Amino acid sequence: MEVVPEVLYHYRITGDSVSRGLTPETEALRDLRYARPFVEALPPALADLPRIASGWVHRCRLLEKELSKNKARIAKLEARLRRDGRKGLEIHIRLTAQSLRAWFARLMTSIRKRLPRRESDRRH
Amino acid sequence: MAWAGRSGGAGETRLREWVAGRGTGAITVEAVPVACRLNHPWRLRWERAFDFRQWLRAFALRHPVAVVNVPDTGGVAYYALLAKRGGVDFEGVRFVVEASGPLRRLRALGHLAIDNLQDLYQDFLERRCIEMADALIAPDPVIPDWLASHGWAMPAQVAVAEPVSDASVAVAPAGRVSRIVFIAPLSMGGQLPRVCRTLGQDSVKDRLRDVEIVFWGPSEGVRDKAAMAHIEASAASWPFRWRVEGDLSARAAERLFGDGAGVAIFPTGRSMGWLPYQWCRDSGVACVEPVGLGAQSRRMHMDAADLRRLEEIPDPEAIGRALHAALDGTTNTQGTPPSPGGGRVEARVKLMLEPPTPARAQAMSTAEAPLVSVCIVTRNRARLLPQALASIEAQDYPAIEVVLVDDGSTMKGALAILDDLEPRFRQKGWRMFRQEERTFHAAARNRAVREARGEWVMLFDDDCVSEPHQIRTMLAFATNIGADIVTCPRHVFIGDHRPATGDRSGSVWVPLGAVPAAGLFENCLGDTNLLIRRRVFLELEGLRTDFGVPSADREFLIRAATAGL
Repeated sequence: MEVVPEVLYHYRITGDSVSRGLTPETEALRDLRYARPFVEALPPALADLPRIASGWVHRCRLLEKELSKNKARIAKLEARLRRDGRKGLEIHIRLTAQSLRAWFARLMTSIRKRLPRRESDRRH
Repeated sequence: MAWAGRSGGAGETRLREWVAGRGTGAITVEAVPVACRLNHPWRLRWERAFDFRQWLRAFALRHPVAVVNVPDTGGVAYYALLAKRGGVDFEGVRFVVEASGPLRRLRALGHLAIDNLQDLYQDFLERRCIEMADALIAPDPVIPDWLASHGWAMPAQVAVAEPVSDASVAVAPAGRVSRIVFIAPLSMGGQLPRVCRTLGQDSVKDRLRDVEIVFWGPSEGVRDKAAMAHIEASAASWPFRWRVEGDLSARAAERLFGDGAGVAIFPTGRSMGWLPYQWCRDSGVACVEPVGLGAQSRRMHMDAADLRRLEEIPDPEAIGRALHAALDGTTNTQGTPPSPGGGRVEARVKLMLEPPTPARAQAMSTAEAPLVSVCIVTRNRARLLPQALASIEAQDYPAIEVVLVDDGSTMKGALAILDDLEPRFRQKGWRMFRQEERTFHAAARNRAVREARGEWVMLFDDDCVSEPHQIRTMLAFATNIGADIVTCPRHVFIGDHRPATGDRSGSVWVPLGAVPAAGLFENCLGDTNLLIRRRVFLELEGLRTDFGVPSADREFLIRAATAGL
């Protein structure tokens, strides 16, 4: 297999191209399809290796996406911090603490509901 | 002569001086533009190699080129060499590849593995460049020995010659040394632990009190963390300042060496390759020659076994000796002095100007032109199919048949177009197969190839447009280079219009070639629009027919590449 180092045709990108608008299921099937030649070429004991490698790469890409999203979020927060100064940060911390307290209270309530009632409670 | 070494460096200057001194005017030296050149010795995308091929072609149209001199690092000449071997371009041009220690070897010497796609691509490019070159020139016999012993395909001529760029062995510092720069990968696989241990020795620490230590090297991603942690832990006992510099740009080099107070040490020796070392010498940066630092000696009288031992078992005292040499402002040179610069250039140019290996370019006569079946699958593409067919009709290759499979079109316009095409197909001896039921692309393509009568088949999308010389060029290339499957770069465009011949207004996508391992993660192999021997397609049992799942072409190419095609 070799590459002619010459541009020899024009490839059109169209709205109805097969690779466009793939569902996550089809994408997953497509990724498995790429692993198949390796799986077939390997002894059965090693057949999971290409799938694992493929899975890791997929996970890395997801993590990279998440990382870049978080970076953007951090940049926003930093910008806000610069803009609002210490006071803004204090407000932010207070709000975060409030919401954390509320979340913790909800959590405790839900845990209490799931716990078996104590003997002393039953008596009353 | 096209020179792809460091621009404005001593090598290029010396070569130019030598040529000017001859006074014949028969040879001119042309430096490759920066855009196509290796920026630094660690990374290169393969598109750069395609840019280099395009530049060289444009240049060769204006000036006759006899010799192209390129480093192996990065495999920049890959596509240019493909063009030559496939008889597309550069007939009579001699490609001389300079071995500075390709990535695979550098990695092995640093006890590191090829562990990412970029390295895999670079390894492929370098391997193929060396294989297809007319000659390989190495600064030391240990490099070709290593390549041959690791199963690399070597060119017909392999020569050992000292680099033209430098007469001195190492550059002494101009004044007091206040900074020592270790140039090495920042990873635990290399010599970093040994450097840290040496820096912790009392005899060394005392001398370094007023000196700043800098670790300057390429980033190894996640592994950096372990290396950084190791440096930080070791640094607890260091009385001197230290820092890590991951920026490999020229600006960083200026910061480190611009004031003349810095000295470079190569703890992994030349396993970092010749380029950083050569760069130091070209730029007049004080450096300690990496003899005995885990690298091979430059001396030719050592036998291959000695050299290999030196490469693989680093001398634990050597880094300490190098540090003392750097602080004393002395060089640690040994052995015979190098030959004078002019003599080295003369020897080098003589090697370059030997006649090139002829490419197997053969012109094909009309009588012997094998039949090429262009296999197209269509479905509801009323507007675009005629454009694809017109571009096939306009081919300058004489023996073509089109096999068109309609994969269950349902739209009236598409059905009407197919009705119109039928008499035209009959008249030309082309064939059309209309399927009521949709079978999906892969199954329809397999049918087209089964029905084809040509020795070669070209798979072609119904919405693509071919350049008029596509089939002729691909077939001639396949014949000359001895390939059963041939792919090519494509011009990518958006819209319903028919692009003009030579239109490159959109982007260009370039396949790399048969790197099967990479195919699992990224498509570097090619796409559906390929030329293949019909027999080979059938032997590989065609495309896999998973209804509704695209990319059967990429899977097919991975299978072909893993089968060694």
